[in-house]
Amino acid sequence: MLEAYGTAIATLFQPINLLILFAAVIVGLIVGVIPAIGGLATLPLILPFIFRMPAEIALILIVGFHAVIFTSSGMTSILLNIPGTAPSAATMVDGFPMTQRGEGGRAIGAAVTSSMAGGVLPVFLALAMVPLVLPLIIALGQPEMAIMILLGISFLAALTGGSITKGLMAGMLGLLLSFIGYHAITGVHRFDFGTIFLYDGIELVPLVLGLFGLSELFYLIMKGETAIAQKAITKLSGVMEGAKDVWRHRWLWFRSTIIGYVIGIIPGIGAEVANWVCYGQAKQTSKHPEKFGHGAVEGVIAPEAADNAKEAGAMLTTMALGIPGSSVMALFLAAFLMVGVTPGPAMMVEHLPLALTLLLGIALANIIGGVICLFAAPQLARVASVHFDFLFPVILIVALIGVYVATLSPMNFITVLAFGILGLAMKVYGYSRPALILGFVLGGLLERYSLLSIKIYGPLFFLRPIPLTMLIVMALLLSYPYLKRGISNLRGRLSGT
Amino acid sequence: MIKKFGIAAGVVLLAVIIAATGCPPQAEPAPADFYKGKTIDFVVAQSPGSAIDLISRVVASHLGSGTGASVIVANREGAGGLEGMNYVYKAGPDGLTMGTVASSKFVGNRVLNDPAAVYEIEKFSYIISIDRQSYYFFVSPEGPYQSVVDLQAGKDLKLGGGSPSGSVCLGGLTVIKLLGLEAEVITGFGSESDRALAVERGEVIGYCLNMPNARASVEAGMVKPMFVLATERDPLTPDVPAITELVELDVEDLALARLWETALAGSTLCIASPGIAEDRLAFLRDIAEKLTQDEGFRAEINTVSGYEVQSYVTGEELAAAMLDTVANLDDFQAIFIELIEKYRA
Repeated sequence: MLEAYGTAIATLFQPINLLILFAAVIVGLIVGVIPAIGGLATLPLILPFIFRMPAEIALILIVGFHAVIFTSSGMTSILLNIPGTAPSAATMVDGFPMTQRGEGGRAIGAAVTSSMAGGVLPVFLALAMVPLVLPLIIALGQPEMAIMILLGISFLAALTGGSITKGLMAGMLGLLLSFIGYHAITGVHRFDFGTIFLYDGIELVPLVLGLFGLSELFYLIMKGETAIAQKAITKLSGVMEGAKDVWRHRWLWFRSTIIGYVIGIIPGIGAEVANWVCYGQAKQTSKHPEKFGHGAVEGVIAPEAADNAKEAGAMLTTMALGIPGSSVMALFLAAFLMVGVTPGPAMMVEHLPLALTLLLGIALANIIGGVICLFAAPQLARVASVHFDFLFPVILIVALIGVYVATLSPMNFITVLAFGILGLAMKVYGYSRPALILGFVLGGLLERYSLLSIKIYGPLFFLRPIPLTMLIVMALLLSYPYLKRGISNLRGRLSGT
Repeated sequence: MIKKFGIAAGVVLLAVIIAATGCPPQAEPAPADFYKGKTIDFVVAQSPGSAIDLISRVVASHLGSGTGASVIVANREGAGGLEGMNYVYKAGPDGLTMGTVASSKFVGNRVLNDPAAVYEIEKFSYIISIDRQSYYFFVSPEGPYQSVVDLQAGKDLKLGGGSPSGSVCLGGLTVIKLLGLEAEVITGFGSESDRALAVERGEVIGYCLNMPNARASVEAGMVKPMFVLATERDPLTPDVPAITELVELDVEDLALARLWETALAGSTLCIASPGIAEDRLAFLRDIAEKLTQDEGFRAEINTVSGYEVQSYVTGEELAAAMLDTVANLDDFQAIFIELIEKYRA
């Protein structure tokens, strides 16, 4: 094993490989910053070029490229309230209010550090995890997945904002919206009005861009603001304050990294879920949940840690088992096969030095990408004080181009506008937009896994041992604040008597 | 002065009229000249990274070199590929919009009369078909069902399916009919790995799929092929029997099995929008045919496919085969609709 590590380090640090990795990191960072465009839209453009490359160079290229997309995508969410990639939308909820307070640099510092460390730690967990991954995935059948998604939906309670009723209404609207389109189990067309545009349902990217990005700009202009923040802290020390925040909230970071990593390992949950679930648990376990949504740095740290960790988890499942857990990982699988490397259990034996080179490449790419972002952050934070007359048209055009590139449908401009108006109304009248997103992201998954469970195991599928245990744990988690209050009341009474 | 100007103007007008009526109309440029410097909109009706997507990108790149045009590849996989198929169908007949589709989905949409499929198979311009991937029935290597006899003895069997109208579901329904199983197809599994994991967990006993898409699961030891859904063995896997070797089929069932080795077999069809000029279609077909004899091209196709692709069908042959399929569409439509009602859970 030590010999394999030595070979991997020697391979990675060959000048040509380092150069390729560095170039891939730069391109990955740029792709991450451009709104709405992620690896899924850009990796297919790289694939044709890797045919004739040696396997290690080709794979270092795509691994380095993909590893940092989520590191930089959080910056667009924080500064402009527009997600660089769909999963990084959760970062906007607290990142953008920090920018409005002039603390964009600090938010970026926290996001980048959390994301970078969240991408590095799983690399070192990877080899220890290999023997555990398959039993874990096998244990999680359709009923277990249904209950896990239900657990995710229970975080709606934490995302409701001021009013629980309004928050739940927003969550239910998200669930309803997720049911639009061709039903993958029954074959029924639902609410698509016979159009092919709604055949696959509403796309997440334009929904998020409208609901958060556009509506926020409308709101600021309505309020007569001339810039996102009147004064922005643009010193490196401000950025480093964010990095220190990660250390201050290191247990939250660690918890979110592990949750993101496990969600990433399990195929079929989806990249968006990890960030929102981590955001929800951060708020639920915080001593000051009321600060969330108004610029709490924990609300930036949690989703950003999950962001890169889930990709590392998905990469492990793809490499070690040959099971791609997401569309992006399917592209990775294709890339491996194209250069003559077959991912799967044999890869961790026959191509162990290559596997280790790639894992270490992910760690190194994260470090390089993170450092670049940290040093670029003070300059980028200046965007918050640019006058809206200049900023608004640029954001609008770049965002709409991003939507078009990601979806190839001009109809989605209407989606952005419609959800922009809905988002504005929700903001003005105090309905939680994160709750809507969580309902939307998890609704389709809950329906799918529940129906599959019923068809395979019958209506009492939740009485199987693992789902039942998970339900009991979920009930305990949800009632924990009440139990804690009850116990302390009881203690108080006992000590009083 | 005015008179002179009037005469001059009259002469010019006369010259223009003579030029307009007397000269022959400007000839259309030869296809080789037409494509040079133009942009071809190349639509892949499958998701990025899929087997067809990788083949398509090789084809698009060589098509660009052959025509002298810039080829822009875009994935329009929405609605199970229908978005891309409809897009190419509705594009103008200038020969600048083309793309690739999975034959099973392309034909399957028409077999099931999907209202969202606005195209008519026979009207497309066919350029080439690459590969002919047989559909296999995959089971767990260590599960209780290792033979057709095991399957036929089983009760309440569950087979994995993808989309309710997709080829994985239709393949499963076909297997149930041909083997006379007491089974149903459970649709809704999102991807190949979802199905393979469901087999590993024992949630379903198996599923139908072509080998390139199941390759990773086979190599990971999660599933193995039991038989080929065809009347002959696949050269790719000479050890795996054809279904006709394992059961005796009547005339109707035999025709159904044959459908899976022709129209519903997993081929990558390269098509262009309907009605393009014959000389342009001939030009594109000629380039495609030359490509199939080019060793470099074949090597790249083999690399992305992961095996040696044997079958290349020319545009003319493909168009004739599609006409044949359309002629028998009604019969198969009735069979599949009945199977869906009976065996789709």
